[in-house]
Amino acid sequence: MSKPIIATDKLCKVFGRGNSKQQVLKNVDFSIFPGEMVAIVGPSGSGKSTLLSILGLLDEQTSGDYQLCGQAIDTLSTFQKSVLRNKHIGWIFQNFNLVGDMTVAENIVLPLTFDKTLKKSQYSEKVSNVLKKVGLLEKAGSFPSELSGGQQQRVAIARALITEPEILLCDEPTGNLDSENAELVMQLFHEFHQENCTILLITHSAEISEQCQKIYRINDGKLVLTPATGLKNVV
Amino acid sequence: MLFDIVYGWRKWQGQRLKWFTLVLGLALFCALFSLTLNLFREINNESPSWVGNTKPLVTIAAIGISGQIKKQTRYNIDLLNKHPAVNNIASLSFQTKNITVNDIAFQKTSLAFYSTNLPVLLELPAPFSADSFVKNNVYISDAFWQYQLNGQDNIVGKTLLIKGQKLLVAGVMPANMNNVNQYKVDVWLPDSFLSLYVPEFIPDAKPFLNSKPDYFGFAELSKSVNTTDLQEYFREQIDTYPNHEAIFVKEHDAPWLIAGIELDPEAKKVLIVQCWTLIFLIASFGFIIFSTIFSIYSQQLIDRKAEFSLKIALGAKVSDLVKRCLAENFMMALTSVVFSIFFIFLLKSILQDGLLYQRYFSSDFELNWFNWFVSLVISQLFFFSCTLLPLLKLNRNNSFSRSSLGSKTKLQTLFSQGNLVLQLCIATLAFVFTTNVFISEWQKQQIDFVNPAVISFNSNKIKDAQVYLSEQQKKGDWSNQKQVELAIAYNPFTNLDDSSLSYNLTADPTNDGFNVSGTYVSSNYFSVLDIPIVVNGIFTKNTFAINIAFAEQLKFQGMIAAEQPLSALIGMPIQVNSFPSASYYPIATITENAPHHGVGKGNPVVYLHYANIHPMIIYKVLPVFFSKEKSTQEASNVINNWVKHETVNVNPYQLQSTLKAQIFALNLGGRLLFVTSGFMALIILVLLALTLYYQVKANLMREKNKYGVMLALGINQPALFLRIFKKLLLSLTMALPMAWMVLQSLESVTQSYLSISLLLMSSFLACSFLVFLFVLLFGGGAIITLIRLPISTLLTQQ
Repeated sequence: MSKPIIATDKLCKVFGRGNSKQQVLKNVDFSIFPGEMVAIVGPSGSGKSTLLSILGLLDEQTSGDYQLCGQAIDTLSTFQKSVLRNKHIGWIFQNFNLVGDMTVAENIVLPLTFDKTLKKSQYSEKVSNVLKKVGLLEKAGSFPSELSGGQQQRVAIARALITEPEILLCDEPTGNLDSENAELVMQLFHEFHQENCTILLITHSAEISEQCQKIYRINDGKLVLTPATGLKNVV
Repeated sequence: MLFDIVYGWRKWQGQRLKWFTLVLGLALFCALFSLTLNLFREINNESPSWVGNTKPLVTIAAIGISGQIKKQTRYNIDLLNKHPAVNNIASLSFQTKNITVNDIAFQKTSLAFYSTNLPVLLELPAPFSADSFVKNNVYISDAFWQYQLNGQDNIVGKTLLIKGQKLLVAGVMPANMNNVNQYKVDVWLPDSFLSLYVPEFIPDAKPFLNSKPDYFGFAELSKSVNTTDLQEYFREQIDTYPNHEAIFVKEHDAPWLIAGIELDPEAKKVLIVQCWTLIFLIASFGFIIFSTIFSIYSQQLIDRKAEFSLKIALGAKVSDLVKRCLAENFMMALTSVVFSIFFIFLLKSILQDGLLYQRYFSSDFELNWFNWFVSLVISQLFFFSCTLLPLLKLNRNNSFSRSSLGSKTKLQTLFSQGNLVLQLCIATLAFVFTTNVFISEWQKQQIDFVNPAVISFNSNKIKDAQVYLSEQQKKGDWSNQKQVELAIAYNPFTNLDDSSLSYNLTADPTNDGFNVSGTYVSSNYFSVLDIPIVVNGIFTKNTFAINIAFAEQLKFQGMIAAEQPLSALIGMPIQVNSFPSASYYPIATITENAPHHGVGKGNPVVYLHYANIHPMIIYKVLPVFFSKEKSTQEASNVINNWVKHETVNVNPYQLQSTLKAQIFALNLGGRLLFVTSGFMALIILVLLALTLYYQVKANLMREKNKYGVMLALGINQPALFLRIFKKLLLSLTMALPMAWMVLQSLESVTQSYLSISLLLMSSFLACSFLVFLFVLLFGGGAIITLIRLPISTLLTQQ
């Protein structure tokens, strides 16, 4: 069996100090293997997004161990973490987080500009490829404010994919979308999953989570694996 | 209303330091603007507050070689009366005499002898407890009454004794007449009493008094006349009607007229330059503080978009929002008012003490509260405009739905960038200006030809003082007492009267000669004071020493040929005329130009040997002592031992400040400029640091989401820092050439008014580096503060 791409051991996260101290994550132990599509579900405030932020190296755990791509995160410098974020992780947010004063193409190319090993001449081909994948090639010169919510999320997906990451971390990717667009986005995820991409997504929607191989439920900071129906609604 | 005030205060939660900075900046602007306005109004008054006559007036005086305003003869003053536009002429003579009041003797009292028509001509105010200033009466000043006579009751009618003559005090003058510019006045009395001081051997007092340059004249004009034209007329009259009755006193100085009642035009000129300098610096300061306020409130508007949109959706009108904003900012406005009053008193005391203001204005620097009110209104208007201007956007576009929360329009981004560029440009200008003023002052301080350790000892004499100096002591040899080297001189170092002497190139008793400053000194004067000798010779009795400026003048006058070196003057005789005799001696030594008249003022000076003081008066002259002994006590002991054994009626000698300090004391204008511009630059520096930090941080916070995304997508922190910092550097690279261009356009102004060049590349580079450091420290600090936040926090939507 291959090694897990994500592995946590007694992961804890505490916010605040003194009386206002609040433990959001309590001894979270779980693993995700390459090529898996995993959902984390739970009520609002249960710690889903906090967990995802820690897994995506946007935040740090208070205690516990975390290994990403076989590397213990505690031992990494901020520079090494940046490289991991850039090359191994693709982020998709609920509110898209596109940069308003950049065009679609500029938004998509952004992660590539942080990788100094790439040549600029390679950018346009890569951008065209991902835009073709998400069906927005004609919108390359548009600004995010000129796009619909579904289109913006597809741009965000294209941006996440341009570096060909091993893991896609999706924070409520369909939360701001109507059902038609949500379905379109999920279809894209399944396509990438087919290409052996590991996907971890957070959702409220049972319909979305049921499309994943594994479903974790987080409640009161504790993570529990629930029996998944396993890709039953794949389109 | 109260709710809005409390709500406004709550809005600054967690940003109290920023709030306090804005309050202090606003208060300081108000206080500085008020004081400058005050100064401007005071300085532009053609007459002091105690002169009631509003008709055109001119002051009649004379001008010395180095541009010093001097007194004029009464004979010459009266000549101006012939001009058809002159209605009437009065005069005032300032003298220092000993008087007795109520049997208490007062040494060196400042007396102002007024002509009988002066009270009417100037419309002088009434003394306390009197209806008007009555001519021929004797009045004492408020300061003299308060401090010398301890505010005695019933002072009116008390006896005042001058030269044995009993006079009655008729009243006390208002406090604003304690000084007439730099002249202190203790007693006002009619000029008829000047005849008491005419020597007994003078047969006729009138020609003697009329020919003494002891007066300032004041002419009332029937209409405004160009002062230069009137002065030309005055000069012609003096040439046409020379004073044939003149006794003893020769007239050396050129006639001079000044518009208004003004006896210290040099100080006025300095203060006017000072005012404009302050205006420039305050405008710079004001721009930085108000643009910061505008910028912060623009950001607040962006942050509060949702709140304002909600209020509008709930039925609020823009006017309601404006009213609420006014109420929210009330606390800040009120606090700034309180602080501005505090700053005014603080700055007033700083500016007043020891600087030019006290000398120039007749009394203390009077604070005009109307000026403060005007400044307050202006500063608060600016403040509320800056806080409300961002709200104008609401008028044009009530709906915020299309723009995303927390983001800026391109115009706002451009404005923000432009604002930063201007702030950096203005700050650079202020620093360059102050640095150049500093360099100019510092260069003045590098007087390497006067030993900084040299000190002087002065004394004052009681009546009928007598001193005895041996021939050795006149040379400067005091070694019979102790191994202490002392030099002596007739005058204090910085008090060589501009035209105390005159000289002729040949022995010519009929010729008045040319004016020259001079003093009697001992042989060792130059070695004790470390004044370099340029052409060496033996300076002894019956020889002269001259400085380079005088040597150059003699060469120019043809005493030696143009191609000859200055050393050719050695051994050549000149005639120096001094009271009561003339000396025709050879030039023995040429010295460097010592700063008797101030730093950088190389006026011609002739040094006569102390032994050449006329025997009739030498025993009455109290020499000034100079020493560079480490032990000032030892020098003082030697001098006062001499006072004890070899003098009669001489008070003990007191240690004065070092010569260097005495020389700098002459440079009031430069010091004033340096102190005020330095103070302002310091304030601008602090403000720049704070605004840089706050503005950069505010700008970054507006785009924190963008930076959060970049970090999430894998940019490392140093790379992001450089990416953001490049923008700041871009602002700086735009600001610096802009500042250089402004400096170029200001160059001619500063050259002509301040004698300072702003285009000194080294100081510009140093100041640019300073601003760069500030950008790096405070702008960079703000960037680091932001990018060190957890990425998840940066990505959180407000």
